[in-house]
Amino acid sequence: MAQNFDVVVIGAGPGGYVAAIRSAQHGFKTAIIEREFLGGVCLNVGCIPSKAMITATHLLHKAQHGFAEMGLNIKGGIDVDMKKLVTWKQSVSDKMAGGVNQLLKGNGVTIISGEAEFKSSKEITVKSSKGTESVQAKHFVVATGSRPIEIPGFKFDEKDICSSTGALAFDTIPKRVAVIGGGYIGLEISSYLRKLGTEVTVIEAQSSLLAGVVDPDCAQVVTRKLKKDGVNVIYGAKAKSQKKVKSGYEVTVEINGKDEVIPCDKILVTVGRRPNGDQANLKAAGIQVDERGFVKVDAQRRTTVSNIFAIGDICGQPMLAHKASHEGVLVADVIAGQNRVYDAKTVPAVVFTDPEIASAGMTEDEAKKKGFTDLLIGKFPFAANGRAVSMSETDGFVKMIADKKTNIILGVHIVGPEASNLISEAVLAIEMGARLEDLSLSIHPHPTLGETMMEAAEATLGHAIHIIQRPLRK
Amino acid sequence: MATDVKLPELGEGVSEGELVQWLVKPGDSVKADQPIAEVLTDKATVEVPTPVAGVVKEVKFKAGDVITVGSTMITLDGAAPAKAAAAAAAAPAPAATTSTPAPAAPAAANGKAQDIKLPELGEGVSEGELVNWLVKPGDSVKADQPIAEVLTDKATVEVPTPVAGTVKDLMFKSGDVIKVGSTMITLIGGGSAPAATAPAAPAPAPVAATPAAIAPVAASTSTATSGIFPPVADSKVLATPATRRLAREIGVDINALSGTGLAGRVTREDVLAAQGKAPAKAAAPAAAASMTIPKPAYTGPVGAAENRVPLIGIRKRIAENMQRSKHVIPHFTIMDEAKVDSLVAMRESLKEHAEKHGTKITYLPIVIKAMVATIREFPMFNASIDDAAGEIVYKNYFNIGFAADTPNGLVVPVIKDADRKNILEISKEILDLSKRARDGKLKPDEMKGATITVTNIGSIGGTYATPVINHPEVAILGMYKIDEKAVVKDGQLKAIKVQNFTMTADHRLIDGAVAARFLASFIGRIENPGKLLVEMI
Repeated sequence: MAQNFDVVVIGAGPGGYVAAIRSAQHGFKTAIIEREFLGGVCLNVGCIPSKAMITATHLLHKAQHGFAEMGLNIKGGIDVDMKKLVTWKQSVSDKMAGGVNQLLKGNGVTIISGEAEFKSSKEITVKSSKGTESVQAKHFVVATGSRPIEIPGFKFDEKDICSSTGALAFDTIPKRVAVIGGGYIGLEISSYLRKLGTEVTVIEAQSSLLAGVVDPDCAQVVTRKLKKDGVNVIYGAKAKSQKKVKSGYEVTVEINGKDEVIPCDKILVTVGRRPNGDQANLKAAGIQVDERGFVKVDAQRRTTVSNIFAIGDICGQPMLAHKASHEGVLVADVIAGQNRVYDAKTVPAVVFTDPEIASAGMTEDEAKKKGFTDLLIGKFPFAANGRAVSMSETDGFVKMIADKKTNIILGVHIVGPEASNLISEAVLAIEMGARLEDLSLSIHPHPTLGETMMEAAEATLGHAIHIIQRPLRK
Repeated sequence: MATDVKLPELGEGVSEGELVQWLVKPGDSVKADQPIAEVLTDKATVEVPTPVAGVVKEVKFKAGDVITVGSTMITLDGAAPAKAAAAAAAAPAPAATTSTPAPAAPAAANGKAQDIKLPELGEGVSEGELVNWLVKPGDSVKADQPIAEVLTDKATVEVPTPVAGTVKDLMFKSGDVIKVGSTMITLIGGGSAPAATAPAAPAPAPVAATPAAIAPVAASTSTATSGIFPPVADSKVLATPATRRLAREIGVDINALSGTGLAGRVTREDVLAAQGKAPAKAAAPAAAASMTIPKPAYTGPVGAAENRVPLIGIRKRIAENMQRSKHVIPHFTIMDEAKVDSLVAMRESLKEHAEKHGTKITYLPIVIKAMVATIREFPMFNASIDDAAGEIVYKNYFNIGFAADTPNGLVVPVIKDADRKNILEISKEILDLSKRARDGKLKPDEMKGATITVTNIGSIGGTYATPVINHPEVAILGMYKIDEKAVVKDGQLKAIKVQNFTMTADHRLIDGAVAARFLASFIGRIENPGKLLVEMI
């Protein structure tokens, strides 16, 4: 006998579990199907565990390179118990996933373990070790996410040739790692591996890191720091093949038509993620998937089948957890009959490199493309901020882009300490249609990193206090 | 073999009509030439007949929809050509509890309960209010038979069942708000609908009626979801996320607003002020340059004893016309009194003569003739302004509209070429048009093309009024009741008969002095009907 629900969510990642909880809050009889782990990639092999590793290695790095100038002397250095570190990282993930489990149960959501496949627009089967069961629902939410892209010749074994998943599970510190792809995932892992002492070579096809992903000025700050920390970056390089040799692996890359060999012990492939449009037999329900594997959705995140929605990585860029969560709430509200569409002005993006990069709104290029011909652009450096100096973390700046006609803030790009936490103010400013003056006239507490937001707004207007600016000639 | 019955030509220049109501429902047998629907075109309600006989399979529109000429209105099963109709003539099937086997596949009596859900009711419509059930538990229903009347924010819709069976449970009661997709009734022995291509899913266990928590939190008595507006994020509209959400919830397209806030921000107040206004892309009523007329919402006190009925049909058309007229035309009214002893005497003396000719003469035809004669002196009263072209259009024909009070509301039939008809002819025409107006049987072109209108309120009461001009006309003459009045003449107190007249005119074209002269000249003819004889062509 098939189980029957009002709403069935497929995939318990940061999109799916949020959709399920909000559906249950609306009073719907809700179930969530998960084949691997509650919390999805984000909580188990993505955002959360990588942050645990980044935090630990940041402290390590600080102890090794920043304590001495403050008069903190560590006798005999620090040694890293990698097994314990990985266990702690795992406990962080487990704690979070346990929280998701409690939230789902507390809201009365039925959790079904197994892999879902559509039979029709009203029915799925769920396969698990216990067998196959049929589940019917009035509404489905497809939240099946994405997976790392594999490149030819580099099949993942998640031991030596790894995606982010394998890299996060290293329980010994690798000696030499070749990282194919200088995007945000590759650089976050490169950063923390380097701090553990690994020799890291980043193989990047473009001529710069994070190209097209973040503001180029911000990328430059991170690139300089990586170099300073001893990360080797090869630009304009294409990874062609790898072979196992006695001492580990050799990765062959092509640079300007010439082949070069990079010796390493582990290979990390981080060239991006692809949506799982080819899974769960979406066709059987009549759900249309585009050629890249994204499920086609409208502004309400409704698929081509009116009772089925898709959210998160599966339905399009940006593939970010917080965008998925926002869509999760959205579709549950739409199912409950509320008139909602996806209507965010900006999805902030954060890169947990050293220093962190965070951005909201438009880059200069995007603003120009959108028809803002006259821009005000200003920067305020962390080196001029008391709190940053007292933290001994002065790399980076806050950059603001505003419409010259109205002073309305179009984009904020931060590179520097705690950029990931500072960006939220920018998101609110952009969503509220704030002007530079709205930020500069709001009193920010002293001494904090947040003052840089106020000061950057002032700098963009042409009269910041704590940096020397020439008078604004209009 | 289903036959499409299309909306026929309704008259010259009429390209569409608004469906007032269906006169048949799915499952009814109809004869050739039997009226199937009432359609409103340009103030007239027309009964549209089917040219062929058959059994109504599907109705394609709902009350309030605008149908273009040539669109399929209904489909008929087993339709015979009109010529053979006599054989196929069958009495129209009565209401729900008929035991005639449905033309659809007979229900499979499998004893299984089947949920009948509220289908999609139209774009952007997510729910409807149950007005009343058309069936009750125990009734057997045919496929496509209407089971309920559901009121959406657009119209009242009859919801059919896609399958036949016996009604087991009604899941809602009148006044309940039903979400699209919710189970409305359960049927026993439900077969699948003949037209259903999708295999009917096995009947799921009845889900408990949707919990109240699901009902959207309505800010007012009704949340108008008049569409899903595009996201604001990509437009240059500035509004806070909360304001954007509010706009969606109350059905305001924020992209179409200009903000009054800082730096052009659309504020919460801007959105609330725009609530209920027509979306910018709403079709402008015919014959008028497009204009945005405010459509403020009305929300009564919570729990007040009020009931709402859809504003459709003739009432809606009157409302639109009046609103347009008052919006476009700067009205003013001149009033005066006519001494009508001679007129009354003349009418009395003609009674017998009229009866011989099979009619009776009222004051209206005489007034119409007096109007025509006066218009010859003042042609601008028979004109129109073409705003689009920036021109005044003088008309060399005299079509006099007269306002008729009918059970459905105001209707204005037209006496065409009144200058070429005598008082007897006009009398006959008025009697005929009035009767058919009351019965709702006027043809559309009998209510079109007036060049000026007269409204006779005297028969009902009132001393003076300020009528509304029937745009694009530029004047309307009002006539009021005949009364006795004491006057002093040659030192003697004398009773005379008087009647009030008003001339309401479009001040863009007609000045007060001109209107006063028109009224004086007109009253001169009324006070001395002999003038009409002298001026006769």
